[in-house]
Amino acid sequence: MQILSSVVRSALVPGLILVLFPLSQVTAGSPAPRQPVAWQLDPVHSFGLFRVQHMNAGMFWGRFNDVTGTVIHHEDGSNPPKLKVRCAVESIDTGSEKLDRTMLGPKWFNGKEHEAMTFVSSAGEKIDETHWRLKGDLTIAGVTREVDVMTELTGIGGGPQGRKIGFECTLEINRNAFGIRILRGAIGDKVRLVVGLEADERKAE
Amino acid sequence: MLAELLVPIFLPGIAFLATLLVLKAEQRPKWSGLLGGLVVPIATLIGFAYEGAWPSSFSDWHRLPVILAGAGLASAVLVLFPQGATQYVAPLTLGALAGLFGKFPGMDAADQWLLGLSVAASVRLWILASACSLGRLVGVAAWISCVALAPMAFDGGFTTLMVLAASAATISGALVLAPQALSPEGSGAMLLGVVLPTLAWCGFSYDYAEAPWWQWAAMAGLPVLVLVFFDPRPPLTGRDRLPWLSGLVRAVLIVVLLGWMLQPTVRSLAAPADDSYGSY
Repeated sequence: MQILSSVVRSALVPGLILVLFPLSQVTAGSPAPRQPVAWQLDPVHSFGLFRVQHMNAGMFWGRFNDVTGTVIHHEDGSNPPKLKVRCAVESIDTGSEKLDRTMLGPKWFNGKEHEAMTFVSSAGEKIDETHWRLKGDLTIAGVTREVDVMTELTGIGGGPQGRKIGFECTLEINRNAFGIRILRGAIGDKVRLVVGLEADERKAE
Repeated sequence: MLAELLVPIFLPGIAFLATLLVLKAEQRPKWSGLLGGLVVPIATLIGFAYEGAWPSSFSDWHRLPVILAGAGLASAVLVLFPQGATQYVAPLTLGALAGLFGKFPGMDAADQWLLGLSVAASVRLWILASACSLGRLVGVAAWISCVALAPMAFDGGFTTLMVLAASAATISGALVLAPQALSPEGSGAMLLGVVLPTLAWCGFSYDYAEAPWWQWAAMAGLPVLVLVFFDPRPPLTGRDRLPWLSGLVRAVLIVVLLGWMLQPTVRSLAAPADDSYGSY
């Protein structure tokens, strides 16, 4: 009888523990899941900044406000994040409406023919726990070039509405490579891009 | 930058005029369209070089110089037709050419039809205008129209279109100096009929500025007003029968009308710029 009760106890107790403490709570603090998590970019908290030298003097900054896309991220860091980012060129914001219109013109971003700039990562190299050098295709004004993008995982947080993830991507490009060759000499060739991304975890359908 | 653009603006006009002057007066009508069709695309190439902005790939607006070159070539062939046939064949052929190839951004099939029709109407008008008021007036009217289109393109940040419009203005200026090139059966009149509406449609389709469609249309159609105002019943001799005072009043009216229509552009261009490069 004693043997029987100890067998029943040993079979029931783990089951009871599992019922009382769901797996998600039990696994808190344990290594992150290896399954990649899909995230949807939050356009309100994502943006693109560009910096270019003006008249061989000051550095001019402009911003693109409409940034959308997706991120697939392995939280255990086993694989580089996969970024698919789209930036609507008509959302350019230089602080001057007139300059915005000029930069949307055919010799600059050619906004009427190419509505968006895109970046799609294809591979990456891990630098440390929060930094990767991502390789991918950057398309600006209809011209696609392979670029290296330094990507930093700035954090995984969130609130009552769900989890959020943040990345900051920086890269430097030569605008001539993308066919934007107007006003060479007056406007610098090198353009630094800083893209701040914040994404919401995609809920399972 | 504007100073650098003076060469692509004036060089085609000077080359056009120089070639016309080399030709005999009776040969000018035959060759003016072809010459114009060649020098305007050359203005595009020079403009690219001066802007340091050689295109990396084909853009929809590059159809513009291609259409103009094609129209130049077509008009050189069309002048070989008998004059009676040219009056109708030329507008239809050139309208079809522009409508078929003139697919600028945001233009659908209906817009292309409209472009084709506007070019056909414009070519017909220029042939009629050349027949009615043979003389420098036709060139002046085209010059005013091209000059008005240039700042609109510049305000929209479309520098190359500005160069093209300004180049077309210098070519029209050359036509003022060599008016024989604009005889009714001449290819120069046909080319002008293609240039103005096509420039305006291309500018309108790329425009991010405040210029509404009617402003582009009015500028391209301005020569109609100029010709009607100036020469309602033109004599066949080409000499103005109106007294000089009446002509002056009409001229002032045209300038006032032009100023009123260009008001939004002038206001935008006169707005304080952040540097010596204008809006750049």
